[in-house]
Formats: sequence, C-alpha cells, structure tokens
Amino acid sequence: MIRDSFAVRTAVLRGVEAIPVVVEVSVSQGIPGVTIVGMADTAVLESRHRVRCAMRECGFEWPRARYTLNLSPSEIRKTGTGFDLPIAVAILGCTGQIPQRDLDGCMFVGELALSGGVNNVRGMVAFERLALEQGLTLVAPSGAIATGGADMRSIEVLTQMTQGIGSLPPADALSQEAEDDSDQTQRLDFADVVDQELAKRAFVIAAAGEHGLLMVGPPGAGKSMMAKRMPTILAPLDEHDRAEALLIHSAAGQELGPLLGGARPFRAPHHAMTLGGMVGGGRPVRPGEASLAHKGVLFLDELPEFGPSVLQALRQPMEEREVRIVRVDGTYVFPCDFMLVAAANPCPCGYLGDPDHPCTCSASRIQTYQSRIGGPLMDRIDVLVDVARPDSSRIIAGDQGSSSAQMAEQVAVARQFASWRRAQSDDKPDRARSVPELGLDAPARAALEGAAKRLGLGGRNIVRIARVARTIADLAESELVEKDHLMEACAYRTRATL
Amino acid sequence: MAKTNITSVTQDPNSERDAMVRFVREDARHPLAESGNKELGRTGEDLAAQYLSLKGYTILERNWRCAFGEADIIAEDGSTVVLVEVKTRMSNVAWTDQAPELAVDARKRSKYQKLALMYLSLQTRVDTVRFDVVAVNVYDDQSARLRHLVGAYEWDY
Repeated sequence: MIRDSFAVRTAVLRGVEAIPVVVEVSVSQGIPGVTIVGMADTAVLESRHRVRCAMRECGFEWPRARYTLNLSPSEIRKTGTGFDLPIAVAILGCTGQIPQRDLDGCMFVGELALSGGVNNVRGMVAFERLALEQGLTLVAPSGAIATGGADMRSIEVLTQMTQGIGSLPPADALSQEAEDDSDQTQRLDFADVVDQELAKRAFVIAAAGEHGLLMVGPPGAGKSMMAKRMPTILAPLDEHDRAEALLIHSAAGQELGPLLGGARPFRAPHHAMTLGGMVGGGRPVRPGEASLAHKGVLFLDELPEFGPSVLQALRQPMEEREVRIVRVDGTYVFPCDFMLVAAANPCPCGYLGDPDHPCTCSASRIQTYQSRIGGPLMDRIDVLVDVARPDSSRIIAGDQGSSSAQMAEQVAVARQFASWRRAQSDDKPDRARSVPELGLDAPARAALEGAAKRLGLGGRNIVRIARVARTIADLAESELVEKDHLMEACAYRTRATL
Repeated sequence: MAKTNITSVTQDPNSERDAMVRFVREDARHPLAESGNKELGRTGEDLAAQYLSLKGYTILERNWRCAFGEADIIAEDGSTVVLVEVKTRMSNVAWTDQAPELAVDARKRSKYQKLALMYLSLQTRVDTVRFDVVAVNVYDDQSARLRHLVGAYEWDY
C-alpha cells in the first residue's frame, strides 16, 4: 500500500484580511477520487475539476488514487477560487512531479484555467501583506501587481512549477499603465467650473478641514462637476493611506491602477444603491462603497433620492471612521475614513428659489423632499453651500476662476499650518477637541454665542461651526479664530430654503 | 440465449478510440433487432468481456451481485480491480454521435461506488479500484463498435 502526504501553504480572504491556511494532501490507494474537507464552499469544491483538467492539459499525470485534501484550520469557512493553485501544487508535490525543495517557504494563491493558466483572484494585496508578515514568498498569478515589500513571484502557467520556485520571475511592480490612468483623473481642473467662486471656497474649506460638504442647487449648476474635481485639491495619498486603500480595493476586486498612481479614491454610487452595497455585506462579506472611498471622496449625488436606511446606515461609520458588520462567524471591520460630498436639488423639480424659473412643486412635496436630508445625517455635514446656476454670459465668455492648482496650494498651506498649530499644544486631532480648545478669541466667542441663540443651534451644531471656523482660520494662517472666520463658518450652516 | 463469440477486432478507421468488432451468434433464434433489450444487453456484455480478455484483462466476475446491485463485469488489470459497466445500443453505422456511455449517470456511478466498497471489503488481495465503461454500438448480427473508457469516472465527495 502506497501512502504519502504533503502540505502547501496558502491563505483565505476574510473581509480585508488574509488568514493563513495549509492545504494538506494525503494519497492512498482504493477508490479513485478527490475528497476535500475543511469547510470548503462550492467554489473550492469545484476546484477539483479545474485542477484535474489543468494538470492533464499541462502534461502532468493524474495518478489514479484516492486524494484526501484538508484545508487547515478546518473551522474557518473557505471561500473563493484561490485554492486551485495550492491544491495543484500539493498534488504535484505529493506525486513527485515538481521539485519539492523550497515549496515550504512559499505561499500559493491563484485560480487555474482549464488550460493550466493561472488567473488572478481578489484580495491579492491582503495575501501579500500576510506573506510579508510570515516571511514567505508569495507565488501569485501574473496579473497581480506587487504593492508591498513581500517577495512575490509571478506564475503564468502551471508547467512553470517544474523548473522550481527559483526560476519564477518576480511580480511586476507599479506598471506604466497605472500611471497613465492617474494622469487622466489629474486632468480634471476646477478652472473648468465657471462662476462658482463661493462654492469653490467651500470646497477648499472642506478639503482643508476634512469636513463633510453638501451642495444645494438647481440642475445644471455644476454640482457634480465640482464634486468630481474634489480629489484634485486633496494632497496625494501617502504611503500608509495608499496601502490601506489598496487593501480594500483589492479585497473588493476593484481596479488598483489609479490608486497605484497616487490618485485618491473617488466613489460616486448611484442612489439606487442598497444598504449592503453602501456599507459592505454580501456573502462572502465584501467592503462597500463607504469603505472603497476610504482616504478619498464619497460623492452622493441626488442625496434625497437615496434610501433612508442607506443614509442612516452611514451615520455611525462616519463618526467612527470604520464599518462593523457582525455575522455568525464573527465581526468584520472595514475602515471608512472618507470625505462626504453630497449634492441635492432644493425641491423635486429643482427650481425652488431660482429667480428665472418658477418652481412647480407643491409645498407638501417640498417639505417631504427636504425632510429626507434633514435630521441626523445633516448634523454630520459641516459645510452647506448654495450653488446657483452660473451666469450665462460668463459661461459664453469662458471666464476662468480659481484653478485646482491654486486651491490645492491653499489646502496644503492650511493643512501644514494646522499640523504646526496642533503640534504647539497636545497634537490632538481637531475633531477630538472641545470648543474652548479650538482657540476662539473673545469677539468670536461672543459672536458664536449670539448666533447659537439666534439660530437655536444644538450642541453638535455649535461644535461644528466652531470647527469650520477653526479651518477657516487655518486657511488664513491665524492662530486665533477671529470673528470674521466665525461669521463665515455660520454662513455654511444656514440656508434660507432648508 | 444465444452465445456470442468475437471473430475479429480491428481499429475503427474513423476514430482511434474505437474498435470495430465482428462476431457470430450461436443458437440464435431471432435476429438481434427482434430479440429485445435483455438479449441485446447480454450480447453487449459478452462482447465487452471477450474484448477485455483479448486486451489482457483477467475476468474475475460476470454479473456480480450483492445487496447494492449488480456489476456487469469485474476484471483485473495488473494490480487493479476494474469495475466495468457495459452499455449497449442498437445502432446504425451512420449514427456516429450515438453514445451509450452517456447513460451512465450519477445514480449508476454511485451504485458502482458502493459496489466497489463492498467488493474491496470481501477480499484482501487488491485495494486499488478503477471504474471503466464499455460502450457498445451494435450494428447488426455480425458487427459492432466498442469504445472502452478507462477510468471513466472517479469518486469525489
């Protein structure tokens, strides 16, 4: 009786995290076939057929025997098609068809095509991170791009395994194509937006202080146009933030190209989006739009059209900057530190308050419409700005206002000043500071008290006005928040029609 | 029942996987086309068993029965026990796409898997099993086409 066993390392994706898994194979005589144990889902069970075909197609032998495969630790549910490659390698290693040397120091992840080609799977960034932590060489499909410091080899066809790990080429690092992609988003410029200097100022404030922003205005005012240009005035992603964004995008199976070029994520989900699509969910659990916008911009166009439950689900993640999804097998945590940019029409027809167009909506419809964006979500939006339709003569003349470059400069200056200011005291982030800690001078404090009484502001609103005023003072590079800064901040809180 | 004897085996000129077989039927009362499915199946099994013997297999059992059902042929190929299911169809030379082996469905396969376990438990000489299918297209009372599928299926669970 011939009996032999072999083990190969791999990993399974759980949320945005890779968990190490060992594929053990035991070969015995008896009734030929493959048995997979270890909580494998259908995609993993189907890998038997892919592996069998791929091995035959590559000219390997499939010795007729009983193969028992165990995916250890067996208590974790195994999902996805990344197990094809490790299973094939385990069987090839076990039957002595490939050199067994060095296999122990490697982690294999990849899906097999019937032809023996190795295809990419989602979550490669997470696998790479795990390989780095464990000091292993990651053997990945040739489509995967190396983003971290791990030793990563790329495999195109299963037959390459006969030459040993040493002969596999290192994986591609940041590709040229990715940089071209990012150029395209960089080409957007605020200079294209005519006659909206007030709104642009609001964008600068929002970008400098990481405040949520809501634009209200009639159709055709340029709301979406400006929102799309938001990433152009934000600082490029630094190394750490980029790694986090890459991890989430990779786990969700999204394009990594623009991120590799340093562009900030910009997500504009459609308003028909479901709750699971927004905050994450599904089976297996995947990150949602809120997490995909991590370290970037989440743009909600036509805010009142979103389902109320979808908007309410955003409240807690916005405060805590992470999404928690509780399932039977534990809690999934996805980071979601995004800037919210929202746009809304003032009424269902869009022309309420427009001097040139009459509004055709009834009073009750207007109230229903506006009540959808009011309330708790509004408390989490710091900057509210009216966007009027631009003057037609200015559009025809092609007037150019401030450009992205100028605005980005202002944002950078304000951010630098703010971090210097914070370093003077206790280095706490501004959102963790109480009103007295924000450095309001006496007239500003008096003005805030007056405004709070006059407008009947709640506690959270007062804090938010003070924080926006702090950002405006940072833009002016002023250590103290003066009365003018505070008055401007108040202007971003109130609106005649809302 | 008529006795069937192979007289010659040649390679099918149209398909390298198939064998053309000529045979004679002794004591046949009716031509095959009029003898019913039972007689046809018996003829196919006779042809398959003789064909396997000619290929060097040792026939251990014919129509081996146990509580789980019946195996058409149990043969020995080297150190492997082969459980063979024979599927026979009345056919025509022109019907090249007729494939009797398609009738070996999941239920039939699982029956053979149980038979294999049973057979292994009853003897200690061999512990390696293989599942083969022999598809027989009978053209007339003298000729047939045989397709031997080696390792036609395995047992995944």
